[in-house]
Amino acid sequence: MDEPKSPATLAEAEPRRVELDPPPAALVGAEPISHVVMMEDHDRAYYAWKDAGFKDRILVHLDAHLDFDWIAYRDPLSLLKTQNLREVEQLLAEGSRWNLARRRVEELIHVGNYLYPTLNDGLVRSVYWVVPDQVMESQIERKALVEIFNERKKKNPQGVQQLRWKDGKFLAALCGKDVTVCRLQDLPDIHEPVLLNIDTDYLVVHSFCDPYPYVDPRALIPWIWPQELVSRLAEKGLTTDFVTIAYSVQGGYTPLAFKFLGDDLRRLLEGRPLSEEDHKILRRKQEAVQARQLGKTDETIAAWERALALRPREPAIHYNLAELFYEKRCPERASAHYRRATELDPSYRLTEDRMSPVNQIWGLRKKVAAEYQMALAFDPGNADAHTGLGGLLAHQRDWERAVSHYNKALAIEPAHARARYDLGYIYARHGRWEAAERELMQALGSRDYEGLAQFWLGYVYAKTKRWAQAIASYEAALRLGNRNLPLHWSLGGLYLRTGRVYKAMRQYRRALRMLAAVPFVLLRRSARHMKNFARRVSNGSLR
Amino acid sequence: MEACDKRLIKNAQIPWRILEGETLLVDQSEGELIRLNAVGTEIWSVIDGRRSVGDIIHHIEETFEVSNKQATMDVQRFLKQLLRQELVVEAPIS
Repeated sequence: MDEPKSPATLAEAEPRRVELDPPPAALVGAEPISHVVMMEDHDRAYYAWKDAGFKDRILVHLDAHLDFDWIAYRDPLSLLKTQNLREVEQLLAEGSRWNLARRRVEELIHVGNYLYPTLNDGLVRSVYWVVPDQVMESQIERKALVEIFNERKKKNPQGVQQLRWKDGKFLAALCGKDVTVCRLQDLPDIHEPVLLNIDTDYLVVHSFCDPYPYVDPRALIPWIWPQELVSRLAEKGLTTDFVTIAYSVQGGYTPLAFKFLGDDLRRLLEGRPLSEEDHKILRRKQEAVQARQLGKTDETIAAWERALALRPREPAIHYNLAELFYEKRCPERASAHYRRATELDPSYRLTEDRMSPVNQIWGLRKKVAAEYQMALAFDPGNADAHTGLGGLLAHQRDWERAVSHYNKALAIEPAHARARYDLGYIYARHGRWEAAERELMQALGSRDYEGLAQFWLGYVYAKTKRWAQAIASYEAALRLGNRNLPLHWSLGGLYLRTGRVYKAMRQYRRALRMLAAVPFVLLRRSARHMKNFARRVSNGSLR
Repeated sequence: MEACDKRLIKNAQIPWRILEGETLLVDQSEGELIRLNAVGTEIWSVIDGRRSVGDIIHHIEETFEVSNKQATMDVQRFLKQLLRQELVVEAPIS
């Protein structure tokens, strides 16, 4: 592990939190904790622990997600750096996937897998994953929980061991380290300071049976409030010297309107004595959220306004009021509150990641569109909202309007990767090869869209008979992890065309293996599509 | 069957190393590690773009004391496999 960095360096990465020399551990909820590190993306916790030089600690992870997945981080060339064949065998037996795209490890770590390097690097020796209470309370929920581990086991059977239930807790060994899954009340006594790691989404997720990331847009109410959580933690007698709290708004884990739960948690854990006013604000927020859940908009507004009178500079209050006034069709007041919220905290700006993912996952397209419209009403220069609307229109095959929104987004933000990629995709589908190539080439610069852009570039090159370029693009897409049936099939065809029979056969074999895994019902559906397609061709209705 | 005067060179895109008498080749485009046994390693080590297929057959015949027929069959089969997998390519005619 690297030399521990000075707290000053750490403070630079996460401003305002870390001071010199870690203080002694504090009793959570009873004594002030001075190291409370706030972050948007939860994977920053790994870097915070690493930079602070932690080793062999116990991690208490309050989260609606395990945040553990395998990282294909191993450089294939490391096989050539081994000392003997036994080492080669060991590397191959570990079952780790290989980093064929040769990305830097930092590029591979994200919010869904940072606990893997945490365990692998020995920062912690055991993990208590504290899940929302309801997740342990029914058989179907427990089954969903076990499935989370089984999915990881499928990818790497050696890395996940000893899955079992014991005394109402679920136990596992990940990377040879003990992981215990339990409710907060079942957390055993721990006689040493722990690393306390909290995700705000822990407070809002009710069930593991909901579609990932398990947020139910119909039940937007925390199952536990920060005050109660902190008092329950205090009852457990847990001590800690380092707390990490992630908002996790990006990606739809915590709805933006609930970001304040993370801030309230921080206030409570930092242990500054709360004033009567602070307590009142916490109560007003609770009243507001409960009233909103019951559809009582006026009551909700009144509660938030009472909170605002007590704390006029809290961005969360302004943001929630902005949403509510927009719903009440008071656009000016809504925009004024939105402006204030984003002035006080720019992370309240409605960006692609902070908007629709959950509604989108639930298929609530009208709600998604309404969210984008709201973002544009607040800020007509919101490129993400234009891109989002473009995406919805493209889904409905309203290509013209979709393209118009993408172009608006690009006029505002010329480097907008998703707008570039989506435009490239639409042009490729419509045979506008030059335009498609131009847009896709520009999308290549984005880590998120590079693989997909390579795939469609391969398609464009193949259609324009540039075989070598098509092969190179498809191969790049494969290296970037885009393994799908059309890619293997097309690449096989290209190899064959260029006389590389052996390589072609391998790609066809892969495609056929994937085809065999397609459920029968999907095959029937695609057969139906093919039939319709043929009928339209013969009718001449297909342009 | 590869012509005996044909010359082959190792594919420069394929990193490789000899370890404990085995050759390890990393085919990154396929995401594969290819291991060559002792005979394969011997053949691999003499593929240098200068020696012809005939020279390689002769070398294997002498090194492993096998008949010319046996060496020709084994070397040809092995080289065909290497060519198909694009681990070696034909050397340009000088």
